[in-house]
Amino acid sequence: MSPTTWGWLVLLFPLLGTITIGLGFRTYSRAAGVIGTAAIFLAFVCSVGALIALLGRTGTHREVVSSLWNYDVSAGVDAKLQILIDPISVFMMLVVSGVSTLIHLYSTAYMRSDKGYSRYFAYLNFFVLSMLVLVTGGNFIMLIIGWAFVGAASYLLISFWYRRSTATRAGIKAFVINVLGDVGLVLGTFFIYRHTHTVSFLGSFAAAPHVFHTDSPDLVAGCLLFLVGAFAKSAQVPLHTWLPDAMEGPTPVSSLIHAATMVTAGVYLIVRLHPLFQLAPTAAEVGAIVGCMTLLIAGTIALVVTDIKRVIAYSTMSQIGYMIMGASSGAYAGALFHLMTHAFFKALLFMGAGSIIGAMAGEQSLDRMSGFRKALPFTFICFLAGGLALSGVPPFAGWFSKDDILAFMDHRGGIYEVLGILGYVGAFLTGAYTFRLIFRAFYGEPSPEARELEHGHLAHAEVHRNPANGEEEDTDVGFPGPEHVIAEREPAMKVAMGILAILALVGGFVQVAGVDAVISKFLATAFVHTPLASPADQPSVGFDWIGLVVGAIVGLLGIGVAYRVYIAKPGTSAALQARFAALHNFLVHKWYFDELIDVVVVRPALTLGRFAQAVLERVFISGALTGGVTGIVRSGSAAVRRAQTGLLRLYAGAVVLGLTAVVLYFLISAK
Amino acid sequence: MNAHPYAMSFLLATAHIHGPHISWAELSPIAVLGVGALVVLLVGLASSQMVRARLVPTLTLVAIAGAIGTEIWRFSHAPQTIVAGALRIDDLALIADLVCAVAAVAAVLLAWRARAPREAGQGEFHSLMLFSLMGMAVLVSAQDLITLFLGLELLSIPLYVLCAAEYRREGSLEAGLKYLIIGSVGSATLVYGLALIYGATGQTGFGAVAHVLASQSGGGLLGDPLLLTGIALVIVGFAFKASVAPFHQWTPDVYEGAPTAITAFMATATKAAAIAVFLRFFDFTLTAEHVNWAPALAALASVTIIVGNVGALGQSSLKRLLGYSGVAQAGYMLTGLVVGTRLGVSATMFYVVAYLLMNLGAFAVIVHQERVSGSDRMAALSGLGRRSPLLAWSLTIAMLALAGIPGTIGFIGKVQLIHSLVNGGYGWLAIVLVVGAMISLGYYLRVVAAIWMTPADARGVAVAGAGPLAGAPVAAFPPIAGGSPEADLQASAGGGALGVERLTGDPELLLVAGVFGALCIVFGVIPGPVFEFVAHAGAALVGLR
Amino acid sequence: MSVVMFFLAAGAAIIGAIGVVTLRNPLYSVLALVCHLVALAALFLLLRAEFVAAAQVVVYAGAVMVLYVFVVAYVGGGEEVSAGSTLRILGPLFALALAVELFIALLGSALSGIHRYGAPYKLGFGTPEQIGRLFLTDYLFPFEVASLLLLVAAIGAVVLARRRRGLEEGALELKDLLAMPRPAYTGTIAEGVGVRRVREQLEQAHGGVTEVVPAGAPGSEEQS
Repeated sequence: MSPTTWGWLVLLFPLLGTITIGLGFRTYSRAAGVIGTAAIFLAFVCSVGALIALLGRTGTHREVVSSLWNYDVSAGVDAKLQILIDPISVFMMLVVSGVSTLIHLYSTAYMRSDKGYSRYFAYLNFFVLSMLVLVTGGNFIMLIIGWAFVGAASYLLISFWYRRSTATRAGIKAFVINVLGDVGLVLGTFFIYRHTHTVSFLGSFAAAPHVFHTDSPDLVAGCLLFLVGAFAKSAQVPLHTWLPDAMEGPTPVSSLIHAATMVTAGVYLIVRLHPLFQLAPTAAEVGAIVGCMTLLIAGTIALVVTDIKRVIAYSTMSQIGYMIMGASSGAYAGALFHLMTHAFFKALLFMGAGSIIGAMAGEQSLDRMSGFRKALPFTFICFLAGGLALSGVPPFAGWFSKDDILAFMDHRGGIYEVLGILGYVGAFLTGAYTFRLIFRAFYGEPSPEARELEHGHLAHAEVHRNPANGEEEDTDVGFPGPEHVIAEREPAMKVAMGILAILALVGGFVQVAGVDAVISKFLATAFVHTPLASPADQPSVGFDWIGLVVGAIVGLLGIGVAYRVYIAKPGTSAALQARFAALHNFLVHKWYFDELIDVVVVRPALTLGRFAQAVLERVFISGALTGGVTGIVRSGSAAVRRAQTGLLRLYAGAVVLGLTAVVLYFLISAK
Repeated sequence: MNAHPYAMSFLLATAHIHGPHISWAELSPIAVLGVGALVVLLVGLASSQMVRARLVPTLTLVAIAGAIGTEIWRFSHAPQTIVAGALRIDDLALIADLVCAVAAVAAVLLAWRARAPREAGQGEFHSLMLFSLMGMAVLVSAQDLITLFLGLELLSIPLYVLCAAEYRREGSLEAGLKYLIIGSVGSATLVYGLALIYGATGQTGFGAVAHVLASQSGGGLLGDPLLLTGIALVIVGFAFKASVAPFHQWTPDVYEGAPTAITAFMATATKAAAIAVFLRFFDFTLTAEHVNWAPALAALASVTIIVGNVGALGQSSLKRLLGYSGVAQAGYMLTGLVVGTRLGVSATMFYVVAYLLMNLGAFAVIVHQERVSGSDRMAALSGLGRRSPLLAWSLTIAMLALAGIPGTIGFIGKVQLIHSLVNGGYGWLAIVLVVGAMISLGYYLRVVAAIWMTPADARGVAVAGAGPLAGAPVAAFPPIAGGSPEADLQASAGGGALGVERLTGDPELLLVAGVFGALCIVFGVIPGPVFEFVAHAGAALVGLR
Repeated sequence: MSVVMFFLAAGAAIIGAIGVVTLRNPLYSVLALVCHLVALAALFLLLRAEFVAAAQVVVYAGAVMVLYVFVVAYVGGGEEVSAGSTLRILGPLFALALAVELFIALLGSALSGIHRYGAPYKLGFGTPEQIGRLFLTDYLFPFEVASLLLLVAAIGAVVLARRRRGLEEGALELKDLLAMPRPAYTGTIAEGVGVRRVREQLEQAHGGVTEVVPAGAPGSEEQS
């Protein structure tokens, strides 16, 4: 079969899964998990099929476009239901469907006692479908559709426990910020379409060098708007505030959407549109700088946050900062490589966190966790593997991929060299916050829950409370049900975490400088026309290895600091807090970004809105415009219904009248 | 005079009579239906209740399936004019035939457990339906004024009776009577118009009429008052069948009163046939007169769009609402006819197919609703989303598709029409169409809201339990915070608000609703196959741009 | 001669047709229709279609009209429900307008046909043989469809007229007549004229019920 046939099949299975589960959610409650997992697994199998089909081709034959239907109508927009199968999309398909399969598997156990079990799987399958549409779409229209769909899926899943006020609020926040990104994406598309007169990717890329010169104003504007979309979806400063709040969703959701797949869509966008960004270096620089800022800001916040999921969420932002920075600088293969390894270890970390939260009976605060090393040995090992990969410790996956990006940037020089060095600072922070998390949760004196678990009992909270605001909740209906689960006792969770742990360990070996370069070679055809991807622009093997050694040392340094603060001298953290109270406060308030946005955007908007409501809306729109129009329609409706008397003779009268009018018209038009 | 002239002519007659060549292959779609109708009528006389209740509808389905089979068999063959110029079996006719046949299949399924066939007699009911279907097939393939009129009558007369099939219900009888009288007015108008056209051109064959109008000598005929008056009368006659305003007033009344299965059949099949014959007659036979009839039809179309949409606002009966909506949709379909281009013909037939898919699903749900709650009031829909998600989704999709929401076939259909209008120089009509679609949201969305709204009593329970009452027994109060629709459902079911009604529905209704609801979405996302299918219709009418 | 005959017959046909719709007594209406049909037969004769003329007289003016007369005599005239006053004025106006238009159309072009001889007469035109031959050749399909049409009409008549099982006398209850309360302007005949009838029936049944809420009282209308 051709790659595109596989591509359509990849989309088909999640679609069928969504529909089957969604329509029959009451008929088969338990089977929903199996159906959902199987659907995504089949999508993964088809992605592998697409990969094999693509490997059988060479050069430009690896870029295959297939359209099911041409929406091309009135305005001359070549809108098509079109997919583009090329190395980039196949790579993304593999990562998305593969990680999704494992997370679906994990969820079958994790969500087992939730009453919304099948609704959950319907949403989750819908999300995977949307994500796959996003990454396979062959033109801007499909991209926008996928982009909007994942936003909707993310909203549904963040607010999954919709009786939690915090969850619904977080869902709304995420949705609003994401829509901002959607607007950016749509407007950016207009800027490009205006000049290229096509919405297809390949067509735009082919036309772009002819219609744009380097840094054309419209191109830069378009690319900056695309970046707004990317920043919103990928939680980059200053549009990042929704991501920590999105942790209100079930933990597997955080793992799938807010770590492994959806939030990396921004990286995909930049990589997909790289021919445009290459022509707009100014926009690319903005992307790189913002990515770098994000990775530092998020890294510092992660040092002080106490909610275990939020620590990982800030870490996600920070890691995506690396990817955005890398992709904007031209390290496309590196960014995608890091995207892949990050998907492995970050999904793993969230799964581990889910297991700990299960052991803590729903509690998420690091302040109350400690000493789970003995109680949760499997979780500990997996978490450690994920943590080491995240910190960039050799030979774990993150070490290779992160330094792939940084080495490229340092090699490129100029402003990118500065950003690359700042990236090493971020690596230090990463090591520190990751092992702060591990040391606090797994080491030290076992907490009461950990002790109970060591005696073979899973802790149960007397009253279940919302971890965010302490509201009482009824576990009979959710969160995630009355029974808590830990990986140690659930084969499904164990399998999912085990596979990811192995991948976190070995995932980096596919691309080792000087040894092999599976990813770069596979992706090479997609970047063949890209100046930055030429071999001369790649750092030498020796340079790479210097970067790798430096990265490892910096990461280990961060771990060492964490060890010193939390294990060697346990009181240090409190002392530091007291000493740098102002700084701590600043970080605890997340650099006051929420407050800043509140002052700069929300309040003026509210004031403006109130004014508009009072003046424009009430007087002008409701009164004159809408009121007038609806008044006309209403009275028209009344007239039509009044004419409908039910009396045949009146109908006949109307008929004769109409007939007379029609005949009159024709007589007048007669010669 | 050596022989009596009569005897002479008699001898001549016996000597030279050769019947016209009958191409049975071409005629098969019509013949199958006629034979099927007769067989069904005879089997309906069987004494066994079992045979009548099960075998007759099954045979009817077999007959329709046979017709569908022959239609597919003949599809995209070279068009032929058969039986001495009476019929022309081309792709336009076959597409319309297929649409009508699918509507008939759905109608038979909807009537499977209904009261109407039992009251009217299974054999009679179903054979009338087959005869009506045959009438549609004759009408859409008619190539002669006389065949046209007979087809129209063969279509209408069974429907007059079928509307009154639920004899003991006043509404049904009234619907039949109204349809009969108003329909007769329409038929009379049509036949008058046909007579005038014959009088002006001296021809009855469509091809001959078109030839006369297009020829040099007939050029002077184009402004002829007799001909134009004939055209006016024909427009009015067709407008009746297609329920175009201001000749639409029977529509809501008859749709509401008739048995719902028949309403579904009328709404979809009759409209498809009427639009198809509209297309053939105006875009083929009278295409030379386009400059004269197009503005009139454009005006009628815009009046229809506005009146239909505006009238549907504020209706509380679903069948009535769909009646008005059908009026508005007829206006949309007319717009594609007005431009008189191949694109317009294709767009119109696309919309006919879309209209079929959108309406049948909705009518299946209405039949279910009538069986469960005894009425088709919109208010009775509330809670359907919980009782029967499949039906609720089908109706939701149907409503959204009728309103033209993207992702449904209704959207693609409207876009196609707008495309053809803009291309054909009728931009203002496209604007009217869009305004109409905008107004239509006002009632389609009300239906959607009614489906998914919690019934008033269940909502009361949920609100009562919303306070912070920790530790209260779950059976009595819904949970206090957090949860899922599933839990709400259990809570309200525990409160006795729901659960007494049938949870799903009759399998044939679920089938119809599910299939057509799904097709609305499938062809809304992947309209390619339908588009290629209807493109044949545009190509069938020779002489169009 | 033939011209005189033509105008005589045509005038009779028109007068008969007007009589059908204007005469109040159904029996007279039927008789006016007979007059109209006979006049048509005369017109057919003028066209030398003797067979059609004969069939017209025998079948329509004869058999069908006798049936009509029987039905009218059997069912009786029944009380006429008068139309609203507006319609009583507007109806004829509309009809007049339409008639004027049709006259313009006819006079505008086709008068040339009157002072010309029509199509040439061919030997055997209008004979049963000729007609039968046309039925079996040029108009074979319409002929067959017409026969099916008659069959359909017969089936329809049976469906509507046959006695239904379980439909005994008195099975029709008053609540059936009242049906369900309906919103205004939902278009049943009952709403227009039936309310009065129902009230009369109720009064007969209950010995003078004074207050009946009309089925479609304003205000019960759905919110729009």
